[in-house]
Amino acid sequence: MSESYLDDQMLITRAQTGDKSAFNALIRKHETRAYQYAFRLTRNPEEAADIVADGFVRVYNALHNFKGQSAFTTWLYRILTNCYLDVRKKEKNRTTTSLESVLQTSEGEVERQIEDPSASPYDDVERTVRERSIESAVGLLPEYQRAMIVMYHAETMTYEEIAAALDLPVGTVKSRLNRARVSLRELLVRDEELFRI
Amino acid sequence: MNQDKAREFFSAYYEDALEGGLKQSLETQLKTDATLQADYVAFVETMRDLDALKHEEIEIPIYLSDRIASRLEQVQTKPKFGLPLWTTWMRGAAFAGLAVVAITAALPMFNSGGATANGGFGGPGTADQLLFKVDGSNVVLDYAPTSPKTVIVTSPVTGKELRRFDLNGQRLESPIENSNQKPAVFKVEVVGDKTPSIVVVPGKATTNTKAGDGTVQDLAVSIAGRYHVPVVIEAADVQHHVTWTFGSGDANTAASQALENEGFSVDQRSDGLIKIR
Repeated sequence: MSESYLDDQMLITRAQTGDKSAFNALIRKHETRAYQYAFRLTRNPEEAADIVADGFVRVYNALHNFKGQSAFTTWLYRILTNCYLDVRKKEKNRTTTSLESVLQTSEGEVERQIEDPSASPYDDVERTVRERSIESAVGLLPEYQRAMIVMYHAETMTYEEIAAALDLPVGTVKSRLNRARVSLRELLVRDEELFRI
Repeated sequence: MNQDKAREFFSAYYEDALEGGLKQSLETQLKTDATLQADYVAFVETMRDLDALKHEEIEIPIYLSDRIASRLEQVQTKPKFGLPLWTTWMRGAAFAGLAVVAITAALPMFNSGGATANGGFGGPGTADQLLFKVDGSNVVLDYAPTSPKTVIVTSPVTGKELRRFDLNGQRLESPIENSNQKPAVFKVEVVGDKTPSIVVVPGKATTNTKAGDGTVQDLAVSIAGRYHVPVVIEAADVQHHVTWTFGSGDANTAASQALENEGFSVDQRSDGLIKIR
């Protein structure tokens, strides 16, 4: 059992008895990692911060139910993943706006300005095309596969930890991850072909 | 083994976790099927690319801590959650980077024991009467019971008992401090007495609250935050609902107007403390 695991357990036990500083410390300890995970899933800073904030609200609401049967980080990943999936589900239910649409103003019609949230070419100078390709390709995967890829390859979680976080059998995690990697390979090959044209 | 089936084993083969028979079968297939072989080469390259993900540097936005605290604060305003002055403290502390220290410091710091010097507050407390005095922006609790008494300090927000003092002929004189940005609330009760006292100690910052509605306790927090004065409520019905709009007057005027015709009395002592009864 690692020291950080013990620290979490101690903080949780104290937080469960109403110790505010313990809950605060728990947030401080995990907010960076939580954000990195959320950002890797969304590639959007605002959305990632919202997911982390919602995640900690859920932690707060459910803390009294946490029995310590899994590591706190595992539980946190599960909550963050659910927050992310909920956001995506809401987005899918939302009506979309055409890029070509116009805004009606008192001065007539104005073309809708769509902000490009991606990094500028100057920001990308030091990053290889390959790295950008893999990040883009991960972003094209279905949400659940994306979460698994990020957990395993970016967050360096084991299959067992992912299984615990997503409440799935280890075998299912392995087979779905393999499918995700094969899909990624196909997406990257397609990308390479586009570059060659 | 067809190509699709073979691809299902790519990860296990790459991780050298494929059992003997399957491994041999896949290797045979790879040797004889050029397409599958090319696919596996591309797969290995993908696995190496994926390794780069963990090295990506992600900048943490400076507003993250505040975003978390704000969201927790929103939860606090819903009736089903009783807690979070703690989130308010945390939010303020998020800017200062002093969350843990600040929350710890928000707990009352008590000294109890024999008679102590009174620090210029005008003499010892009247026997059997809880007195609250002002020392800077802190409140000092002064209590000298003539018979054995127990004083309990709790957080009315969390319901958690913070301190308990069993007094047997001693005098209790101790500051209740708040080093956070926002006001902190404490409930002080003498076991056996009917009505506990609610003490609101202002934080380091003042707030711009101009209007609101809520309980008398919420009003006290708003007054402490806006006018930076301590407020003590000595009334049974602290949950009584009121609305308030702060004008250009002082704290006493603001509290008096908000509680006019609500069955409470307000006075401000010369040391600045607002008392609601």
